[in-house]
Formats: sequence, structure tokens, C-alpha cells
Amino acid sequence: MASSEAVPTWEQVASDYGRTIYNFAYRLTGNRDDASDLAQEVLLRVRRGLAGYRPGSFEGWLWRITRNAFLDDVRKKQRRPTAELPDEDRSTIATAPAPEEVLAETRLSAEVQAALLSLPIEFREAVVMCDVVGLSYQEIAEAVEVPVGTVRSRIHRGRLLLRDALEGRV
Amino acid sequence: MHLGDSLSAFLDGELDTGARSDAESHLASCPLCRSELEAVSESSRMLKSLPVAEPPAHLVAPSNVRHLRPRRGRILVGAAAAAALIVGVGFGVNADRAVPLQLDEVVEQHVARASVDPGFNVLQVQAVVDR
Amino acid sequence: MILAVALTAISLLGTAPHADLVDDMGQAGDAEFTARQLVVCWGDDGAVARVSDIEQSDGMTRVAGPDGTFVIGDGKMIEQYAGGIRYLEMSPTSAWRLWDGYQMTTDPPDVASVLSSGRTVEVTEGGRIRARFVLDEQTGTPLSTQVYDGDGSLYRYSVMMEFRPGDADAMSDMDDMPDPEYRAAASAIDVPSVAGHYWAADSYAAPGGVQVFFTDGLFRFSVFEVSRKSDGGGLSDAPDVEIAGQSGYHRTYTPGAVSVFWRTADRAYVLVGDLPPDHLEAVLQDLPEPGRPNILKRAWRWAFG
Repeated sequence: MASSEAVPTWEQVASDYGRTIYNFAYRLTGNRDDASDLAQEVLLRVRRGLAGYRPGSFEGWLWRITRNAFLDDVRKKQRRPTAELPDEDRSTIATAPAPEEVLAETRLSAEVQAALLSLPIEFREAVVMCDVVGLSYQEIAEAVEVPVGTVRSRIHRGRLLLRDALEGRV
Repeated sequence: MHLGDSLSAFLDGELDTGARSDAESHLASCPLCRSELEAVSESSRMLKSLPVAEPPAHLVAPSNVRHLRPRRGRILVGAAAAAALIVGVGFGVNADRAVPLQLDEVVEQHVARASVDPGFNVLQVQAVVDR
Repeated sequence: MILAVALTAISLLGTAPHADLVDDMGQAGDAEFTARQLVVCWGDDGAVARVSDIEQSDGMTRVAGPDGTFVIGDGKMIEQYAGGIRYLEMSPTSAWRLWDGYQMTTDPPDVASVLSSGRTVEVTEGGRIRARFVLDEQTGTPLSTQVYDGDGSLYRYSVMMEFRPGDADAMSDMDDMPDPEYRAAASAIDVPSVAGHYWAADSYAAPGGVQVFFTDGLFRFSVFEVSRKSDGGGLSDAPDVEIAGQSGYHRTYTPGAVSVFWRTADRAYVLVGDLPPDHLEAVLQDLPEPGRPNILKRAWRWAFG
């Protein structure tokens, strides 16, 4: 993690956060190609933005960029992401040696991903930032530009909605 | 008055000391909040256990960054191979075959022994159940 | 029953530093009750929680969970699952005692109990809070348990809900028990007899290696010494974390326990236990440290044992 005093270089951001940004994008879109495009776009914006970035809450700044890139993408495509079986899981099925546990786990993660895609965007981004990326409520509040109380409520409702979605599915 | 979204904050360690002990005492007496806590903790656990997706190489390793790691790896492999030759062939051959460990059995054996100690065995039992 | 013998011996001698707690805990082990238990543990990567149904009688505790039904107590571990029953039995050689670095206070005046009834026992270490128990007045069962990290933050919290004394039959659904697998005493090679302030109480043969059981009377953990080629039972997939300035550890939390896996120059280790994070740090510094394979060391062991 970058410290809040130093301004990291773009290469540092890419190598330190590339994987996390990609996973954030993948869990929000449920699609590898979209995630890849989105992560690419985020890194471009980071590159442009770093020049004007003043030392402060780097995480808040970075995730605000990431999240805005995602929203722009959703607006541009004018479609809701569909709850299809994520392609990662299909490829795992095809290439893994396929003992029963691996299959069960893969099916479960596909179900969780599908349930996640059924959540409204505000709730989806809140739970992904909290549980997948591991940001604090304060960092999420800075990224999403809402009060901490709102973050708290979105995370809680998001988790309950996820549970409902999973129960409906299983 | 139920805990509502404080439950997630409680789970995430986002409550201050006072609010946390209030939540604890409410939970002790409210089955509704306990089952809600169980639900959000299960959702959170499932999200956390989603596999980490591997991004395409260009996203994590921009082309203008020099990679020292593969080269260092190659030197190490060479050194290991030379060492294996010196000390005998036996070590080079099956050095990489993994021996499976049954984590369940390991935890159960720990808990079986721990259960002899007085007192806190209910927590010990929990260690087996939530593996 | 070994536990009863050990407790009686301590009580008769009258030298036990914390006779009250010993009595309570001995009594709690014999209590009969049913309850639901909530356990929350705050690990480094967030909290994990679990609610389970518990039944205790005849010194045995029964818990039904998604992976099967377990009955545990007195050195026995019986697991009932879809495929059958597994029955493990161990006979420890050492008696229980409590580390003298802990101080006990019963019913501390400035602590408001979370629960309406029960006796509060507070455990401090060097003047700082380490654990707080609310014990049932009648049976001594810990109704609420709080364990604190060295910096005073809450590490684990558990509470018994719908606690009903009596009316339990822990062994009721365990029919047709197979013969138990006994675990013989064995010794590890590179595990010291003291780690942090914990002492090695006894050690046993274990699947693929040796188990050394450590305790300080309040918390306990086992170190399993296994082949370096061990896959860690999935623990090696956990992220590589730095503990006490040393990288190479793979750590996961469940509500009831922390598990750590690491490989040293020529072996691999799994640590499983309920000890708090700062104790874990101190303990790991005294155990063999993570390292790359050392071919010469392995050759030496191979040739000379």
C-alpha cells in the first residue's frame, strides 16, 4: 500500500494496484473483457491525474477514479450488466483437473457473482469495495463521495440483498 | 430498537468502543439481530472467498518497467540444479511433488487434545465446526 | 476422567494461584446445557462470525454444523458426517496449570456486565486486559467470552444465547461407534519446548508428522511438523503475510481459531490455535523461521537422520 505522504509513480500504481483494480472491475461487471478494458481506462486516468494529485488520501483518490470510470462505462453502454455465468468460471471448469470440490467451489463462486450482478449499482460497489477490495468505510466514503453513514447502510443492505438473491437462486 | 446497519459496522470493526458494547448487549438478548448478523456475515464471507481473478499481464506489468524477477529465478534454478548434482540425484527428482495435508484432521486433532483442558472447550469445539 | 483427577490434585494441594477459576472451569466442563453460541473474531482481513447449536452433558460437547456433527471432550473427538463416523482419542500426559503471568479479578467493580446475570472474571496480563468471562452463576459455564489483543482491541467475542441448563444429551445420536484411532506419543525434531510464554505440554503422532501441543492454561495451540513438500491443506493458498517482520507465513482466521502455515529450509509447519495476535507474534519468533529449501541440510538429514 502506498503511504499517504508520497506521490507514487504510475508504474507503482499499476504494479501495486493493477490486480486489485482488475478484480474490482471484474466483480462489478462479471466479465473479463469489460474488466480488462475498465482497468486499462482506470490506469490511463491515473496516469493523467497523477500530475495534479496532491499527497492526501491516495486510496480515496484512486478508488474515486476507478469508480467513476466504471459509472461512465455503464452510462456509455446504456445497458445493465447481465447475470450470465462469468467466463472465468467456465474456463476453470475446462482446464482444472476437476475433482468434485473444485467444481462445487466454482459453481458457488459463479452463483455469488451472479447474485452480485443482480444488486443495484450503489449496493454492488459498496460491498465489493468493502469485502473484495478491503477498504475501510472512510475510504469508501471518500471514493463514492457520500457520508460514512450512507456507506454503512449501503454495505448492510447490499449484504442482505445478496443473501436474498442467493437464497432465491439456491 | 434493532441494530440494523450497525450490525455490518459491528462485523467490520467500524464501531467505537461504546457502540460496540451496546451492540454486544443487544445481541445477547435479541434473536432477530443475531440471525441478521449471521446473514450479513455469511454474505461477507462469501464475497471475501471469491477467487482472485488474474488480470492480463499488461495491466500489472507495464511494458516500460524492467523485470528482474525471471532472471533472478533462472539463476536460482541453476544453483539448485548444481547443488542437487553435488549431493546426489535423489533430491532433484521428486522435490516438487506435493504431499497433501488434511487440514480437517489437523484441526480436529488439536481440538481433541485441547478438550482435556478445563473450561473453554466450547470455543475449541467451535474451531472444528467453522473450518 | 483425567481432567477431574488433575483438578482434584490442584484443589487439594491448595497452592493453585487461581482456585476459583479452576473450580469454575471444572464445574463448567461437567455442566449440562443447551445453547446457541455466537462467535465473532476480528482477524487482520476482517471479521468472521458463526452461530451454532451446542449441547453439553457428561463432559462431552456436541455441535451440529454444516460439515457434520461433532462430539468433543475428554480427549475424544467424534465426527459424524455423511460418509460415517470418525473417532479420535488422545490421552495427555500433563496436568493443566495456568501461566503465572495472568492476574484474575472476580467481579471487577468498574465493569458493567453485558449479560443480566452471571459472575464476571477478568484476566489481565501486565496490567492490561487480556480476557473477560461472564460465568453462569449456577454452572460456571462461560456465557460470554471476550479475548483482547495486546493493544487492548477486542479480538474474539462469543456469547451463549438461549442458554438452558440441564436437559441435554450430547451423545444421543452417536450410535454404532467404531473403535477409536489412538494417537501415540511422539517427538518433533525442530520444535522448542517453550515458545513465547507457552510451554509444550505433550506431543503426538499426527497425520503426516508430529503434533506438539502448547498451552498457557488460558489459550492453546498445536504445532504440526510435517514434510516440506506438504501442500498445507489449502493454507498455502492464503496470502503470504509478514508477521513480526518476517514474511513467508500463510494465515487464515475462523471464528474459533487462527491457522498459520509456513515452510522452513527443510520442513513445513502448521500452527492452529485460539491464542491472540500479539501472543502469536511472540510464539512464531521462537519457532523455526520461514526459509527457502536448503538442499545441503536436507541431504544431511537424509544421510544421517
